[in-house]
Amino acid sequence: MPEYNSAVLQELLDGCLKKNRRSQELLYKQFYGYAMSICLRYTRSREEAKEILNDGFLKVFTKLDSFDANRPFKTWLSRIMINTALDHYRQEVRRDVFDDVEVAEQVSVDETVISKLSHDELVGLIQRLTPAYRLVFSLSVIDGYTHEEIAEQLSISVGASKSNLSRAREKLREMLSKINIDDYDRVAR
Amino acid sequence: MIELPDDELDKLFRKSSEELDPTYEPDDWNDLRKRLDQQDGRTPAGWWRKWWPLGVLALLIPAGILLYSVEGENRGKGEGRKEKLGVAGSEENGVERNETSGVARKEANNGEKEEGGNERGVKRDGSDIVREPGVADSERSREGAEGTRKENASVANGNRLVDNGNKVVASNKKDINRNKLKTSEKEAGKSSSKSELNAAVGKGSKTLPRSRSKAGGVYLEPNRSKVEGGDGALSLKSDANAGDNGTKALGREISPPHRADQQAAASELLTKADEPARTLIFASELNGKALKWNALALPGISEPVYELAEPPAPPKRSSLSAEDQPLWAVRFGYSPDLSTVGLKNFSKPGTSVSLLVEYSVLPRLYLQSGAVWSRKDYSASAEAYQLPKHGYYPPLKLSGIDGVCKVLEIPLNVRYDIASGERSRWFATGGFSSYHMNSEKYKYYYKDPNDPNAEKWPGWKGNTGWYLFSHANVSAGYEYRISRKLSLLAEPSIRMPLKRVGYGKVNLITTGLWLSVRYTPVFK
Repeated sequence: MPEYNSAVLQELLDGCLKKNRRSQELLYKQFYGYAMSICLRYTRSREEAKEILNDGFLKVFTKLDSFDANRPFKTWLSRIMINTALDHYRQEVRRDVFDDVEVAEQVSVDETVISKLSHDELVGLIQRLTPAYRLVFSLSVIDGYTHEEIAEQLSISVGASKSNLSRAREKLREMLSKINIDDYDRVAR
Repeated sequence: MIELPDDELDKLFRKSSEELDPTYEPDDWNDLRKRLDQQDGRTPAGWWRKWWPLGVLALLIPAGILLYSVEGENRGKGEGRKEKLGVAGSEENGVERNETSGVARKEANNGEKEEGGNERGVKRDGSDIVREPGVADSERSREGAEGTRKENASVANGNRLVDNGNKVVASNKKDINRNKLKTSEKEAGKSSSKSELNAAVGKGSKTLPRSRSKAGGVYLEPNRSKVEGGDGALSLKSDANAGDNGTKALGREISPPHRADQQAAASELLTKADEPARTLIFASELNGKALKWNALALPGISEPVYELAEPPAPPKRSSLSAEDQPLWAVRFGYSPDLSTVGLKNFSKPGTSVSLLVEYSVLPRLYLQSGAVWSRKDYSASAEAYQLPKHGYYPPLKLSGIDGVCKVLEIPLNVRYDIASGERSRWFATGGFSSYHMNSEKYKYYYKDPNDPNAEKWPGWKGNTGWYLFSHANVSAGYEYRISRKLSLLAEPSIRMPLKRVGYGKVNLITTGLWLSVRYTPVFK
């Protein structure tokens, strides 16, 4: 048995295969944080993230027999969550795709302020991006997809993917700089 | 203030995303669990989706039996109606017959010889002729002889109708019409003996496949067999035309063994029907050979002949009665076992079978006991259990326990029949049950806050024995009697805990739907 799938996890997965509700609950609890963190950066709100999370776990529980136990469960789970988020994106927010936003000016950010930002706040900044930027940024920067893969997933050109990534970064910088200013103002007062 | 390069920005957000650990929200799991329950059929709606075929079957079986019995009753009534129709037809014919036979008898009594008597005699059927062999003694006109021939032809038809037995009722109407037609023709004084005889023979002597005919493919009219009282029926003497022609015709006897001759005679009759002189037979030749029609002995008649005037058989009485009071009865039943702790977290249904004995202590009141074997699957939160405090339990808080128990249950119930019909009964049952925990298996779930990987305690196996009067039983049901002694029952039931049972001391609630067969060997 691979190291990354512990005996306990394997037992939980066996229980889930038998549709044991307790095993399912325990698996859900165990991977809730990991899966929710993925869902949050692909959505604009926690409610939306929860919807994708549960859709994803439903797929996990119903498609568990197709899981290859020789591969890491986490990888399979993250793939399911991302695909579910993309499905959701395709169904719900296609109209927002490729909203052209004004490219922000080159902005400067204060490192000390950034260091004080929590993970929640930083992920919150990603959530504030438009869906097209958010997805391309998350897929490319955090989940390691290539532009070719992103283009295929989102049915856009590779150039559009690169452009959206660039614009997403600029937007994030803009938001960070705004935080800097707000924080500076707060300290100054 | 610095300008954050792309890789630094990416690293910042990547790290935040990876290290983000949202707090667990139990409501999120509850939402998912509901969806899973729906998908797995563990909700009431899902349970219904899973078990509806059995439920429908349970409803359809009594409904089908009911429908069958109702149809059976209707069929009986229909048959009764048909019988009545037959009787009515017979009566209708009988009116004619009675009138004519009454006249004929009067004639016979008075010794009067009237031509009109012959005309009326036409209306008679064979039975009248059997009763009045003396008719042949009277002098008859040619018309009368032809009429007699018609009579015989119609008798032949009549006998054929009787011969057909089962078809009597169905064709009764036609026969009535036919009789009316003939009567009207005769009343109009039209003698169409040939056509009518042809029609009669044509109808009566239809050729059958040889494989189906004992007479080699030719239907032998019963009255044509002289030995059996057949053809001689045509050999009536006509004083009028016989004298004119001075001819005796068809005076020969036709014996059953010579059926070919019989057939030939019939065909000869057909071909020579328009030659009265040759077809007329002196009835005096038949003196001493009175027609004795033994319907059973007639060719082609193998079954008893129905007496048309026989009153219809009284309707068959049902053996069932609402007043039937069983003294004692035995029941065998099956039920899905839906066990739960606190009427929530229903898991998959187990199975229960029961063998119960019911003894009547008062009218409509029964004492009921027996044995119920069941497998109960349930799961509940750890708070629902009261586990023994042993040192070897992990110092961790249990999150939940799954239980699978095999239970022998001894119920002691009282059944009361709320409403009783001929076939249906509605009843309610209440009482107490004692549980014997034959086999108990528990799985414990707990979570170590220091270890993100949940672990599962092996659980406990064993049995804890008897729990006397641990549950209260309530149920109501419907009983359908398929026969006097046998009935089917459908009975939703619930067992409410009075005591905690099992190793985990749980308040176990069980619901189910008993589908039973009840046999009543002894009535009061």
